[in-house]
Amino acid sequence: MSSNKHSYLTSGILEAHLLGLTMEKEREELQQLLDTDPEVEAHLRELELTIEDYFVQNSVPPPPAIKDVILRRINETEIKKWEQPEPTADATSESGKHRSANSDYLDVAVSNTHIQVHKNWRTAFIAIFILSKVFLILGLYYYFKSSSQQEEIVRLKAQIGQTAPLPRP
Amino acid sequence: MKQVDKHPTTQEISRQLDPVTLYDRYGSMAYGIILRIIPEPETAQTVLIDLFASPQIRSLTNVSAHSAGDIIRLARTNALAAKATLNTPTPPTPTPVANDNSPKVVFDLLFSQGYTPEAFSDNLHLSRSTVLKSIHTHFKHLRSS
Repeated sequence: MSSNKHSYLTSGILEAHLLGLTMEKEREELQQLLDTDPEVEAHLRELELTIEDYFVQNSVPPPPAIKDVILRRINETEIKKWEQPEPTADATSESGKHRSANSDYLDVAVSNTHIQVHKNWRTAFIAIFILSKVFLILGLYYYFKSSSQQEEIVRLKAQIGQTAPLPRP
Repeated sequence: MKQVDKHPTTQEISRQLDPVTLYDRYGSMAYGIILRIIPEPETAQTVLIDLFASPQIRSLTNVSAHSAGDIIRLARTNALAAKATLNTPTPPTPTPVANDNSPKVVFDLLFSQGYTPEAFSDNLHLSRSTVLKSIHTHFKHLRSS
């Protein structure tokens, strides 16, 4: 390790960077070094673990209720995001009549003439269709049967009228 | 050494972490950092809630690794911002604590009190490189101890 690199690694720049205490120029300089020198990168990761361990050792468990509050806040934020989706260029160009293609909402405009019903209605429709055919056939059967019986009655009456004896004078 | 074994290192963190998982892993660490800066538990808890419900944390969940470092910086930044709104904003003017410019004190003033290395070096008549070197010495001491 060159003396220049050693002095850089021990200068405190890396620690200051990990703690967010460096200036823009220092950050750029460090980023260039990280891109070109794997040793600096490894040293930085080692320092990161040291700093993480230090703060973990000094950690304080928060009250358990805090987690519930965070969960509620996250859920509220998610709900707000759903209720107020960010307008896009496409959406605004059409005067807000339609949602954008990337929107989570479905386009339910009346261009579709079909309706959707519950699948149980299929069985019901088939049963109604079969029953209607049965009643139609029965209706026709009894209609023709009734007609033929009427003709038979008329015929029998005529026959009785012909065969009956004439009254005596 | 308390709780060290319970916490995974940054390398062990998977790519897709939601804020709640991050809270489970680093909530105690973040709360400890916030309490160092704001010793009032109620305010510190508010900052903690704001931190883990913030969009910044959600952006971290898409980052591959080094979440601990990011959370340390975010916790510090948010706590210092909250502290600034609580107190009358005054420019940071560090004063020597009984002429104690030990690395630990320098680190504490920089990290917990929100002093910039520049303000620190100007007011205490120390070079910036000396201030940064103190941070290195502090962590070197922690590693060796």
